[in-house]
Amino acid sequence: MSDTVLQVRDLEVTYRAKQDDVAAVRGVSLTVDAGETVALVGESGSGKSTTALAVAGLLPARAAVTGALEFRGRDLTQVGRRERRSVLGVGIGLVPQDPTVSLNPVRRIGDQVAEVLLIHRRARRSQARAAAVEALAAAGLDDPAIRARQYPHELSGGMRQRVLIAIALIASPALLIADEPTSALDVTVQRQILDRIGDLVQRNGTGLLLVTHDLAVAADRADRIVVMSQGRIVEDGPVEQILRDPAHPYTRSLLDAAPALHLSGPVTAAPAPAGRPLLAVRGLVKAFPVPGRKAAFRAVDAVDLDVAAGRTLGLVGESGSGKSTTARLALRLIDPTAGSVVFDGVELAGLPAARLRELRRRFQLVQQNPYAALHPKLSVIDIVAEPLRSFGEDRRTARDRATELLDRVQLPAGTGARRAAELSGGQRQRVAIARALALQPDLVVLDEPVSALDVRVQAHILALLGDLQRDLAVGYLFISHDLAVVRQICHDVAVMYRGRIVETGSAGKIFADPEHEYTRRLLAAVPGTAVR
Amino acid sequence: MTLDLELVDRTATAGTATRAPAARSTGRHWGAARSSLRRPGLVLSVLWLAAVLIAAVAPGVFASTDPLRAAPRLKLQPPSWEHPFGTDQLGRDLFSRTVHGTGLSLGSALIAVAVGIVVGSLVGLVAGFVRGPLDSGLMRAMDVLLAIPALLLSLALVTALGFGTVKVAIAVGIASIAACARVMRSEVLRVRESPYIEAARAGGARWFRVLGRHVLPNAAGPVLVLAVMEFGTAVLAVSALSFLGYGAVPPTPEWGSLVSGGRDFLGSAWWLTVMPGLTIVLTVLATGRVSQGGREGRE
Repeated sequence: MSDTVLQVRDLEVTYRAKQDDVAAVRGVSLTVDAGETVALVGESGSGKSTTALAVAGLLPARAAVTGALEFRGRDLTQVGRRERRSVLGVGIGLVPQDPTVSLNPVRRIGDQVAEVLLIHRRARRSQARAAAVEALAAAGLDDPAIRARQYPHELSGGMRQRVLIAIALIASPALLIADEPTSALDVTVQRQILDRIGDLVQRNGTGLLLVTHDLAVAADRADRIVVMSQGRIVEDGPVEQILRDPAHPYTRSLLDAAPALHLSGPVTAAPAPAGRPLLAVRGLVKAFPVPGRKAAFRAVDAVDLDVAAGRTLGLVGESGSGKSTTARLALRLIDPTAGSVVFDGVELAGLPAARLRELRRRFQLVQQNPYAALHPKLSVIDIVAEPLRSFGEDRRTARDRATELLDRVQLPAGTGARRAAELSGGQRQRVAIARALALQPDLVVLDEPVSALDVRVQAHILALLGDLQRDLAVGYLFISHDLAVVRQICHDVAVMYRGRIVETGSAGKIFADPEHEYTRRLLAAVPGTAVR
Repeated sequence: MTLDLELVDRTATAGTATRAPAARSTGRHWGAARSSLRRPGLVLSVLWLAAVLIAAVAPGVFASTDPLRAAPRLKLQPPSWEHPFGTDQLGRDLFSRTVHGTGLSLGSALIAVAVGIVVGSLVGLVAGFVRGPLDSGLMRAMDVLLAIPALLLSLALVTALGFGTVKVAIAVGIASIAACARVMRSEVLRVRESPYIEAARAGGARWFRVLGRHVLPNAAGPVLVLAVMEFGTAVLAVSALSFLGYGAVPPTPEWGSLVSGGRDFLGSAWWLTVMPGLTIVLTVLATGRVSQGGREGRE
């Protein structure tokens, strides 16, 4: 069956800006057949989302589009606005990226799902309502009749994404565009959502254009992979061919960097000696009062952790499991409800502020979002020098030391004079790492240090962290939701679930022979199984 | 490792590399000129404020005649080339008096804004940073200030403080504290939750360092924009109090007292009230426009 649903030819998209025009998509051609899943893969800024939005006709007015977008033989760039609108929603469905902002917060779920049918006069109000409940059930929501009467804020992220799938598929479109449909979700939820999309697409013979940054997801779900870089298609072929025998060097570097695709081999973290215990956390509890309820919510519940000098402990869990709170408790940035944190033999609880501050020199933090973690008004060199200045170093010494550190994290000379806003995400994270190392700490807590970065940049940062550990014998508490990343860098792993540690052990043991049922589920949900 | 670096660099510059080089030749200056042509109101406002500032610092540039010299023969003359604003009941040149009054009016407004911004920012900064009962106490006090109409509050204060331009300025400034404190507090509350503040604390910065080096510079922007707007309001408030006779003592020229002085001749010599009044209005409007431009610039 080679019934072509979508044919894109020589698509060019240019964003007109005040100063310069930016060419986002430069001569892209691709086809999607009925019942076929095509994955559009690339890093941020590669033009993959722009391509998808051009097909859906959702680009802003300042984007100039040339080329042909043929949907079932009709060129959408040539038809009028009214005709084009008649295709959207019924012919082409779209699952947007961020489920938290893509639903109207003041309308009921059912009405939002039914809207598509009402706009296109496919059904009367009562029929549409019934169809909406059916669509919600098909998207995998429990109690669809109840959900239809609820508002978006009453649903979790995964449930909202199912609602968006229901909206996209209610009119049985011939083409479904899914723009990073699961990148805001946890792995276990991601798997369920992708399974559901796959089922529905297969059942209806819908063509699926799956836009993703995750090569492992593409490998699992797609028939064909199209790799984009800097607005151009660099490679297009069947999944097996792309994975086994990539022709383009860019594809190869992408494959090498994707951690999930190497989950089967041996643990890659450099061996480290069993160092002296550095951080010992015992029975740590953080409870937050819940308004209107007697029992407080225990975000962190009786957590025990041990980090040894020069080694890396990975703390793994899904969003809301209490990982970040644990990190902040260990660093004493927030006060625990109960439990003890002992750093190098010193109990932090009840320590006078001055002593605690002296100890702070020895444990430092790298945060998740490199875009918000750097002072926006200071130059990079002052950002890195800041901890030294806080501890009374004079300006000259601090700046000299900062220059050394910037060099140490492999930032090009001259970066120091720039502001954070002028740097890329990977460069910013290097600055944050340099800042954390400024005081020569024994322990660095890394809170999702690479989750906001593209895979290739991610691989570079992880390699840098490994190098630094070998040279400086610094211990890491590495917090991540991504098992594949943890496998690359951690010696020991602790798995966190709903505020509790459910399993601890060496990385080799956890990945080869997980004991706890949740750990097993987590491992099974990591994408890329089709390749392994 | 050098290979690594190249890769990182290439990803970083990928965005800029795709820009069309032809468009870059249209220079930055030309772009700035074009964008200001598109906003003539802003250009006129800036020009007007510049002229007013010059008049305040060096009134001789615009008006060569002595503002105090009376010429009874030339009394109550309507505006002409020789006397653009006309003359008053003693034959003094009104244009010269308005120009020479600028310094006093603007100076008072400046003191008023300084009082409002400094005290208000301090209150907002402390309230937003310390939180707790101190925050509640300070902000309730600000609510009390906000509850009383600004002019009424200044009037009450100046009655208590005594007459004179400086005292008028201080009274007007106190009335504007609450607004500045509110804006500053909301900005501090936003900034203090930022990851880079947490990073500063994790880096061992003491609280005053966190406050002075990390919170204040990132919270100050909107307050400064507010300051420009408050300046216009202060010009108006100072003039209003002078009009009521609390400010400059005759015969010293000042915008508000000039308007007040022409009150008795409203029927026969309109220019005595209209000309200085128009000056006040234009100055207030111009500061409003510039402040709006500053806000747009921030966004």
